[in-house]
Amino acid sequence: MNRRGFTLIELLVGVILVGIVSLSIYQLLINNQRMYRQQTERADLNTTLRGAVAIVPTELREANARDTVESDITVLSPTSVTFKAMRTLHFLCAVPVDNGATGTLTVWRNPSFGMRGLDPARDSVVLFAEGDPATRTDNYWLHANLASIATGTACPGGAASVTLNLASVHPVGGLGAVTDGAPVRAFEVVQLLTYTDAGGESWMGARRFAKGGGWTTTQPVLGPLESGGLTLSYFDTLGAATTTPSEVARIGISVSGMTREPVRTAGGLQHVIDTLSTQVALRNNTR
Amino acid sequence: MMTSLRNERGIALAVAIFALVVVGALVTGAFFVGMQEQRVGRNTITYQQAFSAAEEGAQRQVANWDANNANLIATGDSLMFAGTVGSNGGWYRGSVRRMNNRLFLVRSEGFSRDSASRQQVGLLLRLRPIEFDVKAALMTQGKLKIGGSSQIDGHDNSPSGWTCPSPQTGLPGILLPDATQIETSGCTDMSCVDGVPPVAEDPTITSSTLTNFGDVTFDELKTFANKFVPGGGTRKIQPTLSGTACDKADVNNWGEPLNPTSACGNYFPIIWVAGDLNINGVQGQGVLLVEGNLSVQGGFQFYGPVIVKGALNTQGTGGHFNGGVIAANVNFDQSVVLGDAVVNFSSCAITKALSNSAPAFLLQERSWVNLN
Repeated sequence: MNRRGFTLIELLVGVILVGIVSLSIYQLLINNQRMYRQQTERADLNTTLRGAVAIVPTELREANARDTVESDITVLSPTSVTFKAMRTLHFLCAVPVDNGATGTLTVWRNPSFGMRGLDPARDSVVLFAEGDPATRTDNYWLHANLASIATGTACPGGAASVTLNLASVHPVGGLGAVTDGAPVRAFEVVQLLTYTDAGGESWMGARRFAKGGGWTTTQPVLGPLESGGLTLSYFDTLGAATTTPSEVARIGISVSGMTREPVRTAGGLQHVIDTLSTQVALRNNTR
Repeated sequence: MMTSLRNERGIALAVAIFALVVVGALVTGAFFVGMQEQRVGRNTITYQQAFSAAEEGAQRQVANWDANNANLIATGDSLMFAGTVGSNGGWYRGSVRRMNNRLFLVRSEGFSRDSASRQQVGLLLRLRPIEFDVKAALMTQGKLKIGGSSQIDGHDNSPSGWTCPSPQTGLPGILLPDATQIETSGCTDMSCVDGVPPVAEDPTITSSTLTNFGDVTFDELKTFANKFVPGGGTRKIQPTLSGTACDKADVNNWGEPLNPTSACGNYFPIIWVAGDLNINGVQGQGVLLVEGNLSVQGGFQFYGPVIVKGALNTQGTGGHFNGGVIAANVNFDQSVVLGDAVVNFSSCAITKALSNSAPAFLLQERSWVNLN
């Protein structure tokens, strides 16, 4: 008789061997998953820090804190900064209509530059005033509220145009010093700040000032950060620390990011924290 | 053998395949994370390469402002440029667009070395024409000797072969603080001087008034110069070519006013001579600033304003000046205009020299624009 099968001993040995192999594979999988998660968390942290040094300087670089009419930095603190963020660039195709505190600009639709179009609900403008053409010492930038816009073909040769109706021109009557071809820059007031979300995580966020309704809801920009993970410092032209907006020439930015999930490190299971610092010089400051 | 195969039992193959799949998944996962991180890092580098290239392209246009071409662009028109950054740093291209009489927009697109990343920045520039308040064909404050076959004329003369607007009202031929300082030699009754009037006095003229022009001083003007000439020696000034292009690097090439349509016809340098200079022919144009004394002979012809801090001396087959000459005479040496010298007032030559040589500067504020 050719009877086949396993003895009980053989079966037990087989089960034990399969168990050992399975446990090894399971352990391998767990370790790998842990390593993968750790790598992913660290990669996310690196991305957060990289984003910080890319986004924040880009937003602040165009500001002119030393504008003789009105500083682009309106409020500053170690944890937040409120400033005029430049959004679009246009050029006049006609001499502006000057009505004192109000006026009308007509700008070329092409060329114009910006990531979005003009928005009277949130934009204001600054525009270059030439004054006496014989000297550049009287040049300055007017500030005005953008009340409304209208598209048309009012530029020379029937070219496409945008008409900007201004209010609260500052200084009053300054439009008389603005010449055809002068640059016009639209900006919105933005605040960069740290905030804590509903889950208790700290983030760097941004909100903008809507003219009709105050500050908008803060939108997350980067994070999560360590508590108090955004530190801003301000320096004047001589490199001394300053708290006066109109004296700011350089801004130091320090961001401490952390992993969203705790990861196993030499010190045990914990959030990994890393810090990156950079500085940005305000390129458009009055020289 | 077939029987033997049938007797093969066990799970080794299945376990091995399973292990391979698991290990493969592990390796793939690690590779994916590493690859993602590498890509993000690479993107950061290419972004910075493109941004730096755009910046370099824009800044180069300002540092090497091509006044003789850019200043001639009509409003709304553009001048294109392109270049590379070092040997491995990316490349750029862009345009210089004139927005009005004085304002320009430099738009520079920068690309990473592999062209995968692109950034765009802009600069707002303003021309700073030099303001000369020319009040006579020849202004001086010290002693002046005139005569021979020389001719000084304050009427507005348009250079031959140039396209000029209608002549303006004439100016005095000679303007100086005290007319008794003029010594004549064969120029009976000031017959060699013409103008409205031929000779005028202005007692307020001093060294200071002759070396300050609008909102710039003589020393500031020197910083605008794009042609530096060491003092001393005798030079023959004439246009030269590099291939078919005007050779602007040649220190003795000051443009070709006698042939405005030639390669050097639109070349109007701002020339600063660091000391005394003797010129023996042939021709030049632009703005001539001489730190010391200027001696001219050989029929040299110059078109544009001339400011000599010391004394002017023309003898023999002297020089022909078309524009206006200021001999500040800060050391009160005697200026001499003898021989075949000609000093003609020409508003056209002055205006063209000043506008074609005007340097451009960044606006004092808000000159930098992120155009992305």
